[in-house]
Amino acid sequence: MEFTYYPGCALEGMNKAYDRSARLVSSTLGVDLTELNDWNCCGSSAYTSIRELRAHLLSARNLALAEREKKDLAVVCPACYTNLTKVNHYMGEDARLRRTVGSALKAANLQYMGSVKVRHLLDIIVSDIGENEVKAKVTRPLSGFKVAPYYGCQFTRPLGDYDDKEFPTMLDTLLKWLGAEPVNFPLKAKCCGGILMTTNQPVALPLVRSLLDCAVQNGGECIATICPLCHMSLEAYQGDVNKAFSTSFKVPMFYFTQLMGLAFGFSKKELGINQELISSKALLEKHLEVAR
Amino acid sequence: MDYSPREIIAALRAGMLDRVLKSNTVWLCTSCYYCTVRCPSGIKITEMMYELKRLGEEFGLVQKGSITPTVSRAFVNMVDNYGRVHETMLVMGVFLKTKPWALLRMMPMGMKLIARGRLPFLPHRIKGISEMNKCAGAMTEAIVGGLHPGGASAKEV
Repeated sequence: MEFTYYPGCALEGMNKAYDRSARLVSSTLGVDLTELNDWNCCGSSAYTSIRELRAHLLSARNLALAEREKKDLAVVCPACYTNLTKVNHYMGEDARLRRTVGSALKAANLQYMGSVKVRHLLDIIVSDIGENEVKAKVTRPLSGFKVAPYYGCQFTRPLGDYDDKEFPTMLDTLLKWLGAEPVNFPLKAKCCGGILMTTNQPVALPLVRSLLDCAVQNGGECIATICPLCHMSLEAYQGDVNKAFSTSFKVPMFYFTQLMGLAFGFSKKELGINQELISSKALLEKHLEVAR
Repeated sequence: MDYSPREIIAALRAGMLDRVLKSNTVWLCTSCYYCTVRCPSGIKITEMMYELKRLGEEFGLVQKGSITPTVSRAFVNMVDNYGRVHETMLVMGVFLKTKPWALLRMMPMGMKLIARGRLPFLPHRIKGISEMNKCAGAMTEAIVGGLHPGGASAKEV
């Protein structure tokens, strides 16, 4: 199975381990990811907040470049997924936008005919690869791991039709295939505060606090994430939450691909787990016999 | 939050656009899309909030003291210059201008991230940056030339 791969800006920086583990587990499952050549920003919500058409143009350039490769586009960051999918829809539905963006792309000898499908990697793994193939690669089941599956906002909202928009279950399913135990997590698709963690902490910190609270109260020993922005909010600001609310959270965070990698037998280093900010050492030693 | 989404729509219908734009509600929206998927009438409220942000930018009417618009503007500049976003440079740049003392508080986390190899020092500029800007220029011309009637804000041109 072959895809063109769009990592997105967040995976180039602080979330490098997400990129690395996503590539590793994909290749283990026979999903061949080739990085989109010279991709640009998807036109994220910060960009869309200032300019609309230019944001669409950014996603359209990525789609046009991807179309040349004649493969579907695999995306891991839910925000990138939302923007690319949204523009893909708009370009199909709105003749005026197609004309305006089309004429702009032409200035760089690009065109977009609308043939690319944008797919989220988790959807590819669960829907296309499926239970048997995933289970066949599990050499070190995550037995005993109690994981709070955190989806964040934009994995299914507004456009991900592969799962429920308010109470998705795809990650729960995958975690079970890996041998882990997904705990009940009512806030699984609630907002982490996003950009407000940088610009307005009095609003964002309580959101992260209730997420952590909910995960721990329900027996979660760690949290699995899909979104790199959620991951940073819950990981890098857990200390600030503890300071602000006199709590003592020390909840290790994993990108879902890191948990897959652990179950597939990869080492912590290969999966970038050694780059974590909140140590998962005790947790791994408790559940995995050979926690390298 | 000054106004709920319901109140925002009521205020807009009552012609109170300036009050809406200056409220803190607009820039508190993180695009979680809950309202969009829940609205029984199918109103795309998140898209409406985006439009209010852009209108506020256009008319210079934003909530006083909020740095969220500042960060968004810096984000746009960085993408236009590099084609991608370098998180650290973005945040440092904004805080240096707005609240340099806040950077001091961020230092320990910054050091931790550096120690774990999670802070790339230099931003990556895409090869196609000049083509990308050529496209943007062509789009501006198309809008001015009337190819996109009624749908573009002044910020686009």
